[in-house]
Amino acid sequence: MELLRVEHLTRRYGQGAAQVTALDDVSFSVEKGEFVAIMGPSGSGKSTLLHLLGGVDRPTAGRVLVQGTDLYAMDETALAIFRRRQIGLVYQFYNLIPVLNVRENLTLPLLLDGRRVDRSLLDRLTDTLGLADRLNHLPDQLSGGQQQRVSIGRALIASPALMLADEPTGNLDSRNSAEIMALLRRFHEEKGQTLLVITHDERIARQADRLITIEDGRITRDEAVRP
Amino acid sequence: MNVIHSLTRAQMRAKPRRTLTTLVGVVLSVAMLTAVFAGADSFLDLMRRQAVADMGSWHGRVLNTSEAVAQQVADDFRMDQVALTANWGLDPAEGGNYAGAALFGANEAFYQLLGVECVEGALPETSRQLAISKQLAEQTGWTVGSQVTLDLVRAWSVSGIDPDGEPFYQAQTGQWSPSPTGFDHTEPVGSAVFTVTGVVELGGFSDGFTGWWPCFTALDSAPAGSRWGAYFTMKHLSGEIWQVMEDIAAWQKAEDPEYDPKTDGRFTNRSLLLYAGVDQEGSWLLTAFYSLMGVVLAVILVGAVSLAQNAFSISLAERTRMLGMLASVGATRAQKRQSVLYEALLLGLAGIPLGLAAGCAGMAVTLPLVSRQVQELFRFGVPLYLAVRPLPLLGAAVLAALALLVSALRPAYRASRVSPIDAIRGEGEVRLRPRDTKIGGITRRLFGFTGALALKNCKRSRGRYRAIVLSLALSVVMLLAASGLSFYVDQSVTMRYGSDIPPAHATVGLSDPTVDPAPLLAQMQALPGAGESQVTGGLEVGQMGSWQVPESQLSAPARRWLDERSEYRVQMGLAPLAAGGVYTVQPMLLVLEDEDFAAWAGRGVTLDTDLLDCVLVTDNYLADLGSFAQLKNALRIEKGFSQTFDLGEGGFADTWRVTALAAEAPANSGDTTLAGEGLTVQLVTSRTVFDAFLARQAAASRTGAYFWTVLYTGAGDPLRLQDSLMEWASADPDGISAYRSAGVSDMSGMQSFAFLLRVFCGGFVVLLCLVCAANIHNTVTTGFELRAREYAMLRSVGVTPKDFARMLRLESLFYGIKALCWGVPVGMAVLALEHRAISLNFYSDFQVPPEGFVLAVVLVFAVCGLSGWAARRRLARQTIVEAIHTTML
Ligand SMILES: Nc1ncnc2c1ncn2[C@@H]1O[C@H](COP(=O)(O)OP(=O)(O)O)[C@@H](O)[C@H]1O
Ligand SMILES: [Mg+2]
Repeated sequence: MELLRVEHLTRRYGQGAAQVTALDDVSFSVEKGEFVAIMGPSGSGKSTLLHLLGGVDRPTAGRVLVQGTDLYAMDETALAIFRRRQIGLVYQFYNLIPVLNVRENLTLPLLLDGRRVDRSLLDRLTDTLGLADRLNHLPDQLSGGQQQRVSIGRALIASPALMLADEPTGNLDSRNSAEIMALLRRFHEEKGQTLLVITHDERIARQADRLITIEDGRITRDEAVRP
Repeated sequence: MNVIHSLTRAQMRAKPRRTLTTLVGVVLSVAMLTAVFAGADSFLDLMRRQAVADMGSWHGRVLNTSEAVAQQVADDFRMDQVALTANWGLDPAEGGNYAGAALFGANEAFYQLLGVECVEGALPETSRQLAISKQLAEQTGWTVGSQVTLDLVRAWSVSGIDPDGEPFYQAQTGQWSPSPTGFDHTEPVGSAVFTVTGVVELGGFSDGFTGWWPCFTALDSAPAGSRWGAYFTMKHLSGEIWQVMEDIAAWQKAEDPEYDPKTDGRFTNRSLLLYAGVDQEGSWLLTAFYSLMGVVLAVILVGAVSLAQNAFSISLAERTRMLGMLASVGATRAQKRQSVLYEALLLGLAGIPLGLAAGCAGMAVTLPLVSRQVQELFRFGVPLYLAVRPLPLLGAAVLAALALLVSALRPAYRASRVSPIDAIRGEGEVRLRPRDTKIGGITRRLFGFTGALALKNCKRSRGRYRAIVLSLALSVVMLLAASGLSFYVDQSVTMRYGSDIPPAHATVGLSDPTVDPAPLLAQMQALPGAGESQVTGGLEVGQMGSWQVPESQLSAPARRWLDERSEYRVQMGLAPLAAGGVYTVQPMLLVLEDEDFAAWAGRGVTLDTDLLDCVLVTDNYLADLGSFAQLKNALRIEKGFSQTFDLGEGGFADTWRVTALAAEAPANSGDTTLAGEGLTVQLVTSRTVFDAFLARQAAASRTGAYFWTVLYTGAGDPLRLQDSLMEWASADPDGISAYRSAGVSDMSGMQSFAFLLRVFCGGFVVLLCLVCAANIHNTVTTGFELRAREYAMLRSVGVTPKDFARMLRLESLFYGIKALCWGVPVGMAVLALEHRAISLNFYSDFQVPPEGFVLAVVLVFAVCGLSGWAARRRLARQTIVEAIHTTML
């Protein structure tokens, strides 16, 4: 079953001579439950693609369909609600809300939705993330790895169908990165989530089902990964 | 210019809108400081000019002295200008409406220092020429070119008796009222012939002349034995003048055989010296003036410092990363501090001159506009305009510079402490206290999760949060204080003069109820100059009997005020208001034309003509020995209350009844009644009822005093009307009216005061609010901008645009609520203080001006809302990714 479909996606920045085509007529689709790694040199348009998939940017042309829903045909409100329920986005930088403590940052999508927090899910998540004793801390009292784990937890808490992660381990040492990847894969396997991860790390890419390579805003290779 | 300087400038340029807002705030603050200094100095200058107009521009004088003393004054090295006069003698008039002429020889300086101005012809140049005062010209009919002969005498009156019984004589130099005892001593001087060359206005020399009018000739040939006067200005006006006055006293003793220590003739121009800061006596006035100025300045400074300090903190917050990086490559503390101080310097360099100019320009426009009111209030003859010396302007500039420096100190200190870690750690501006992180509970239930988040965001930076709340609360307090002041002063004006006084009125008193007033009224209404008018009538106090009320029946505030007044009366040796705990109550009746009555009372009130049916006015305005009170139905009279009165011996007798209550008296009738004459209640009825009453009295052959009044509500020609009213009132009686009286109300003084108060308080509050608004605008917009990335993050995890807007709006709302929580109670306290101060003379129940509160609330939410809205618009325009990128660094 197809979960994600990208059609002729183009994104340009700037005007006239200064115009940059960050993403150039990209099309592909992803099956439900697939784990896709995206690689490519710096500045090739990976983040741009991920942001467009996550519904936080606007394409210059083309469509993004998640479970058959055209993201950019929705109005802002519908898109926001869709995002909070269906998409988990992990940024390259941790991006936590500094005035909220760890518990609140983690449960943010639920709080926004006015949904009850499932205690057992939260406990399991915090145990897994190793944040059980940090729940009442503010983000600036955490280390970089801990902060990134909170932002992953935040993306996972609503059990979204689509998980997007932009170099989630880019700022971390190898032990921390291994932990984070293990975490993502655990949820991917347990919940059947669809997972797209941007990475520079061959070892991570090798864990995926499929590897997409982007260069100059175009997909240059799209191949299955053999374990 | 070093790298820190150029970085600071680049940063200021990068945020042109905020830099501009800050600059506007600084300019406004400096303009306000300047306006206070310039206004105060112009006012002092006005008082100086008034003193000069009243008395002349001399600093000290000695009169009625010998030529030797006068010459010594003239030769003294400490003097700048010296005016000399020599009184030749007096020329008593033969018949006519004046006492006579007094001849003075005078030098040129005299005309200048005393403001004696030639209005016709020329000043005398020789001792054969004469300048006569205008009054003398009017009395004698002399004109320029007349040959006049003055028969001069010198006169001495008895001013006391020596210990050995000899009378002590004093020369009379300008005025002389021959004593009826015949003890006066005169000595002829002889006659002299003069040609009148000019007519002068007396200016500052007019002081003390009545009946005798002066004329002037040249100084040189004053006859020996003339009494001299010397008026001088000091080269340097200072406390030295007291030494000069003492020296003059010594010369008088030594060189004037006629010197009389009791009337020493020495005098300083007190008001002039006072406003120049030399004379200390009466300086409480200046002290009060300067204290008021101090309070106003303090309030402005609080607003200004809050604005500037906040602006510096904001740019520091934006600069923290940059400073951290500079620190990591070796910037010293002094260099980091420089960045803030340099910003203050730039703001000062631009803002202070602009503010000085704006403040002066504002005052240059405002002062002439309010000149008429100021003149009316203080009964000044000279106009008010901008006249400011360099020193006060310098004072304003220095104060502004100091305020900027003080504002920059803390941010500069914090800048010097920025460490490399701050660059790595990020904004580092979240300083939530533990208890602030626990927000939730009630806020969450009331405003939802976004509400709780908004409240946390408010409190994340305590400095900024406090700056906003302080700024807003200050505006609220000042607004309430100003509206309260204006409200209480208005109330006092009402107590003193009634609520709405017609410009003029004419009253005719009658005693015969059968008289048809129509012709009389028609005549009064047709007086020259009269325009629109309204007829009222009534029965005066005492013409409707009286009754007794025990103290206990009065309302509590009334009792309190009356007790207080009685106590005061007893202290002053007067009878208390209540005799044996019982007050005498006297009604008075106001009669309106039927349609006026219906318009005032409302169509619902119908009156019975069988008896004197009327409406009771419950707002009592009472006055007693300079103290005024507004009391609400002090007697607690209810609807249906009635009294029968019989003045006896063929006087009016009837029963009156209250059919309705009304809070306020009809327009143009507001009369304050004197408590000393008993408590008065005001009743109002219609012409029909009153006519029926008069008919009943006529039928019973009863007579009594009643009156008809024409209120000239819209005089066609007020001055003409004033004249014709005077004439009408003093015309011979017509046989039917018992008395005639007319009046032109003069409440210009108090009204001017109320007006000025409104202009200056209003202007002050508006400007202060603008400064605070600039402050808040800066803070809120940058607060939002600094967090653009965070907000983007919130949107990315699924905050809808509506929720997002709501959150930002709530954030603004919380600032407003918090500001009101502080501002309103403090404002109330200020109101209570104002009310107490004014109640010393004008008693009323504590009331607050509701429009002040409405205005305060509107102001607070408008300022917060607008700033929030502006920031929101900028944030919403960005896409999430853009927001994340722009603040990423
Ligand atoms: N907001 C922006 N404005 C202009 N150009 C941008 C913007 N964001 C990204 N770009 C450009 O688009 C291209 C792709 O960027 P990005 O998607 O961030 O690359 P990466 O593959 O390194 O994540 C780059 O050349 C970058 O300079
Ligand atoms: Mg990237």
